[in-house]
Amino acid sequence: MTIGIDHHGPVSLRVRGLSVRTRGDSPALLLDDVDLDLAPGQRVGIVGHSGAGKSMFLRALTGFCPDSLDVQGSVQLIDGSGEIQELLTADTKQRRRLATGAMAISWQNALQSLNPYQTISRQLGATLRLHRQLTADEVRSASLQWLASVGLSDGAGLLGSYPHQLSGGMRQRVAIAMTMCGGQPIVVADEPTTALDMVSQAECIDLYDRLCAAGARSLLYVSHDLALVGRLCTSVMVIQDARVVESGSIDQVRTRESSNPGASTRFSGILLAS
Amino acid sequence: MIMRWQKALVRQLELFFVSSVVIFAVARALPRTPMEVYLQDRGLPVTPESIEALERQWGLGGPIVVQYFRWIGRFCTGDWGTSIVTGEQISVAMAQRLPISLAIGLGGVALAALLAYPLGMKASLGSRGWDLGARLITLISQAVPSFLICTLVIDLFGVRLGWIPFFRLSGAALVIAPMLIVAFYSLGQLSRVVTAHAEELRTEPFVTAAVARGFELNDLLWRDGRRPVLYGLISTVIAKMAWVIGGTAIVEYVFAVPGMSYYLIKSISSRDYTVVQSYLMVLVLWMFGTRIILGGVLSWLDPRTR
Amino acid sequence: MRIRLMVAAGILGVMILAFSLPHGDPSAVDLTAVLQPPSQAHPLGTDDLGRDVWALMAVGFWRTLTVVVTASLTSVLIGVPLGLIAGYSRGAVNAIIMTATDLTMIIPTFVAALLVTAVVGLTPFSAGLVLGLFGAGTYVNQTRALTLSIRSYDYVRAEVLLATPTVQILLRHVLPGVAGPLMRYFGSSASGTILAYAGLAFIGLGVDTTVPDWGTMLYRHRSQIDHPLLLLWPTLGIFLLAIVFHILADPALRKEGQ
Repeated sequence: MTIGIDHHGPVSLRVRGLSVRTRGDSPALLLDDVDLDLAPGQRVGIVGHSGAGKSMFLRALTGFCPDSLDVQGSVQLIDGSGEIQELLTADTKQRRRLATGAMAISWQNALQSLNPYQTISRQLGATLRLHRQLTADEVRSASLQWLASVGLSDGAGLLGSYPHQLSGGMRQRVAIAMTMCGGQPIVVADEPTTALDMVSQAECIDLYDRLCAAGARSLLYVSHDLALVGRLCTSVMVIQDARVVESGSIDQVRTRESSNPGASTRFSGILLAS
Repeated sequence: MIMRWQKALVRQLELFFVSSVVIFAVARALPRTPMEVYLQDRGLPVTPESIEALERQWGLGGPIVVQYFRWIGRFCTGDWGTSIVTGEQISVAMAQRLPISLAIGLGGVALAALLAYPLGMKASLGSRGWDLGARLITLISQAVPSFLICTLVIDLFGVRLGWIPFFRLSGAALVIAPMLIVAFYSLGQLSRVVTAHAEELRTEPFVTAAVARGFELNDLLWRDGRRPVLYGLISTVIAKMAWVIGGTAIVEYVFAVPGMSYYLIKSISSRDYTVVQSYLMVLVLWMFGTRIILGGVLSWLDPRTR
Repeated sequence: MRIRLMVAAGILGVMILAFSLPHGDPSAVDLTAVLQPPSQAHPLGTDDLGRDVWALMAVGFWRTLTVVVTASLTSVLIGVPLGLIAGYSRGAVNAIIMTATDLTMIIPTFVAALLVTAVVGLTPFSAGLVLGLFGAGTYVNQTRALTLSIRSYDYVRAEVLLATPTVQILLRHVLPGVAGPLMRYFGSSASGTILAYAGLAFIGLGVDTTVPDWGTMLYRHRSQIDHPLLLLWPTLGIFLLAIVFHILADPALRKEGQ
């Protein structure tokens, strides 16, 4: 799928002044003037309370805001040769196509993200074929590889199964495989561990860590839990009341918070890993 | 899956027998018994003796429980009695008329379902025009009586334009117009069901997840939305099956098509209750059969129930 | 949506007002004034027996409205309580109610109505009762399903643990939850009732022919090609009244599949 920039190589993301408003007479500000730079391979965590605007940021970034909202600003994808693709000037359909070509996106309910009416092989295969031209054999071997990479050993057996025949844990892993198998250089994940217990959370984080490292993929990881983000990302951006109130490397943010607890950041509920 | 099938079968059998008891009881409770009708129609005196004689002749005497078992036993072996009015074998008469009613009712609903799928999908995914069109069809089918449209069709195509001699047709040609009208009357509701399910699908997690992976929403719904939408459509069609034989009564009546419901109407007006009884039993059998078959189709569609 | 409701209420209001105005005797046959065009004495003219069409329309309207009200009340008053009971109890009671409901869903409502009204006579009440009785099935099923699901909610479970009397639980918690969806179903079944009644009158078994219904009028005049107005008025009446209820139901039709 050639869409302007080359997304088979490294791609960086540059966001300037991204804002989201409701339309109408008295527009409410849902996201205010957010900037972000994401270099290839870099991992940024986005934290904040529920409703602060984290998910809104991701949706505006990827072109999945409903038409009833007004998105302003600039979102640019820059490939290895310096070619720039501005997302917000394209229409909705084009924008999504560009975004999904360069970014592997995962919304919140991973467990229900599988199509209950199709076998795993069919869904996984369709996703693989969406991004690359593959023969039937190539699809099968790629599917098995991806299943193995998320820690599922009986790939062949799994492929012929329907989602309801798998355990919750297996479904979680298959969902991650489906998200990642497109091979996009940027991974965007919106609270993938919310519905999971502690053990599964740890496994999930571990998977994201390994898979992103293996493909040298950059990561935008949204969570309300700074501790989780800390294990995965090097930088963090804190969003509160629709604005970025803090950003920098994890250590910087921690230092600032511990030396001046609550003062600069005002997010009292977020615990810092010690 | 086998267990479920067996359970469904048993349930339908239960219903069949309960229905037969109810139908039997209702028939016995009617004001004029078949014997009285028979005697009165022939101008014979209605006396307790003559009634008893007839009862014995027709094997209808004895305690009510015995009567029931005699009747249901005969029914299950194919002896449905004879029509009081025409004297012909009811089972034969019904067998002749059933195919016609099924062609009209079943054919109409099947045609409607076939058309409702693309219409409903287009109404959800395509331009507003499709949606408005589907709503208009639904509106007409809910506000204009079918007998009126039948009358207008006969009036226009039969009388004024003289294209189709409605009352002199025979064979397969008889059922075309009624079937088309039945189809029209089911199309609206069925297409709205399809549209409703397609709309619901849009917000299903697996659909939004697939869109996030890069699939186009409309393509996705057309291709992969088939099963869940069909599930909803067929469920509704099952519910409509009860309507297939009985609801086509008006259409058969206006077009004077010799189907089962036309037979029923004539029998009700001539108080031929043995025919009415058998008709109701056929209805029950019909529902029995369709529920089993279509229920099987439903569980095949949803892999979760396999 | 508000506009729709206002339009529907408006049409209904106009019809009620119009048909409440004093009108002539609908059964007054006058063979000297057959098939007259609209005039001051007869606002819509006369039919083939010299009867005042306007009066006939009025009578038909009130009868049809009676049928709708009777049928709806019957369905609700029978269906909802049975559904509540079936949803709340187990075993035999539940089984009996479900079987009875199944029976009414197997026999098509129209056939049942044909049968009953042929035997007892076709009046707005008899038709309303039968149509209502056989239409109650859906109410039972929906109420039962909703009761079952509401029953499993935590706050209801809490009430049970607190030994609140069952009736109170049903009335306070279950009933409000059930009311909404049923209101929507009511609209679409009402227009079906109107058409069914017209159909029964059209076929005419057990009908009292001195004062024809809208359906009967359509039957009488079905081949009056030269006097299409006689067909138009009852058609319009049925159409408008059915639309009123259709409008009330439609916004919900998008969500209500089955």
